[in-house]
Amino acid sequence: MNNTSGSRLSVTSLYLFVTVFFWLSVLGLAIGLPAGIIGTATSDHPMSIHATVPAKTLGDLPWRVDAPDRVAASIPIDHLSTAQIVAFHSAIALAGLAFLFAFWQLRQLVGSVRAGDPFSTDNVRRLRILGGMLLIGFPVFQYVMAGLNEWILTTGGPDLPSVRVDIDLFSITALFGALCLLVLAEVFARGITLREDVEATV
Amino acid sequence: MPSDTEHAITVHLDDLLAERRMTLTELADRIGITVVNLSVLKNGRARAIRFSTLSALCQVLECQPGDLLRFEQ
Repeated sequence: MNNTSGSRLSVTSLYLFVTVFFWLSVLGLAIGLPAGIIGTATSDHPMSIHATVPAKTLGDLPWRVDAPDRVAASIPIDHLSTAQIVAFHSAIALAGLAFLFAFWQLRQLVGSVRAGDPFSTDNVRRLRILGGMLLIGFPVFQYVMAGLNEWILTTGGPDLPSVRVDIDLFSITALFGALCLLVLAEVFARGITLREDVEATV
Repeated sequence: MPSDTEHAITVHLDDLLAERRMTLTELADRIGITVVNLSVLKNGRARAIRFSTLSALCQVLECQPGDLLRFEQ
């Protein structure tokens, strides 16, 4: 097997993997979202919120065991209003749709590589969209979810002192990934120009 | 500075072929490039020309590069 056919096989495998993962995600969202809505609307303990609490509220730690100032905790929520259920699941649905859209763009991109024509303006647009979504969409989602969690926690959670929903707005992984995608988009744009030059050289 | 796609070079392949009573297909055969590529050059749609192509054209047409290409404002 030569390098070209090996590479083609791996691209085909990647395309199949992305396609299967995409449709599994569609299925997951289609089943998970209604199930989540029904679950939170009917359950006695509809959900838990991930927050942080001061470590000292956990009680005395054994000798020589140190804890950070704040530790992660899962806070059970007993009461959810209809507005909170709608808002929470709307945010999840929007994020899910955005994820599916991004994954569809990735699938189209891998598909064009498989077809042997990756250097197209469509792919430059796709890479810019993916980079932009990761750069802006990810922190926006984190911020919105943190706000919703804070709202649910203060109205439906137990009366705990100093409980807080922390926001991790700037994930270095997401930022690095977004920059890689945006740089790759510009590399593709330059690649298109070079290809056009070569094609128009006699 | 002009952009990559703008230039003021005109190709006078038509005139040279007519003077030598030669067809585009015949020229393409003799210099070893496709008629399609030669048409791109003849119709002014080429962005660049390789020295090897230019040399072959000059050899077959018995001319100088200046006879084939002109700078026109």
